[in-house]
Amino acid sequence: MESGGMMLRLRASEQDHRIAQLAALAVVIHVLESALPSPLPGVKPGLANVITLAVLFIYGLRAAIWVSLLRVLAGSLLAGTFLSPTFVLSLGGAVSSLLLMALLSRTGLLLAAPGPADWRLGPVGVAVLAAQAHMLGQFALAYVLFIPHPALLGLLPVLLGMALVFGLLSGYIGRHLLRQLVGPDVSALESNR
Amino acid sequence: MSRLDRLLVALVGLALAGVTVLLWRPAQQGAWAEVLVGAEVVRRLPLDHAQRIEIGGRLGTSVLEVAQGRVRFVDSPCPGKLCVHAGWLRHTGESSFCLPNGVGLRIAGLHEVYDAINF
Repeated sequence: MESGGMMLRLRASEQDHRIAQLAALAVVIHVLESALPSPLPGVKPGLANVITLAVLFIYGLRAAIWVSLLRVLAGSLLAGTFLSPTFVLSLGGAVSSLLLMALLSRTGLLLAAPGPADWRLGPVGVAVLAAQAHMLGQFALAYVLFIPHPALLGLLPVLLGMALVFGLLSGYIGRHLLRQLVGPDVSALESNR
Repeated sequence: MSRLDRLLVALVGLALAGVTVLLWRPAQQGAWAEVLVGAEVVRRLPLDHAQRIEIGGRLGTSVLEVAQGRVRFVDSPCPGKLCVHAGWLRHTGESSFCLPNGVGLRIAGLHEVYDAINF
């Protein structure tokens, strides 16, 4: 029976759809990547972050935060690691790199902001810094929560070295992606901040 | 890549090299070995001077050897020989004790390092 109740309709904007699509793409990359064997625990290429990177440059910080956190949440649900240590570390890494991106974005250092391009950060620089932030945040969390042993520190140079390599890789892929999406002049982007 | 990109990537590389050097330093080398009988330090053996000495304890004679900056129990008149099986001691803070004979060996140095940290 129909009562006089009101129906609540959520209006999804154009941008909501785009964020959902890009987050879904990141989740797919995340899940495919987790099927790859890893030589060291904690070392992963993290190519899903290429999507976060592109979103940061095209749609701005807020959208990047959504895409990244949705990716961690949905990725963990699909992989069955939700609320497990893996999830905690994954979230910690994502939050660390998002904080760094927020800092870069707020200080107007991103290439998408107006200003001379020489002293702005492009996708490669952002990816390298974000990868380091990701690894450091994750490492600090692992040290404090799971393995508070000084011997763990011996692993840090290896982990940060891998983060540098994969950060560069993600950065170059992200730069290529941005060129495909918005053309060669990333600095001409109107930022949605 | 913009100029700032290049600069920051180079800085990250440098920081990485620094962290590696800092964290992969070899452990502190000990300077000398202290020989204990009971709770008393009876001899201090410099680790850069190879020698073999005999120390008398409750049960008999323990034989110690210094060579190549390290020190060990060669023999001791105890049933378990745990002190001998401890092998060579090299770094500050390492120790080996022959409890039945009451003879001990530990490495001391200018910088004592903690062998355990609890927090």
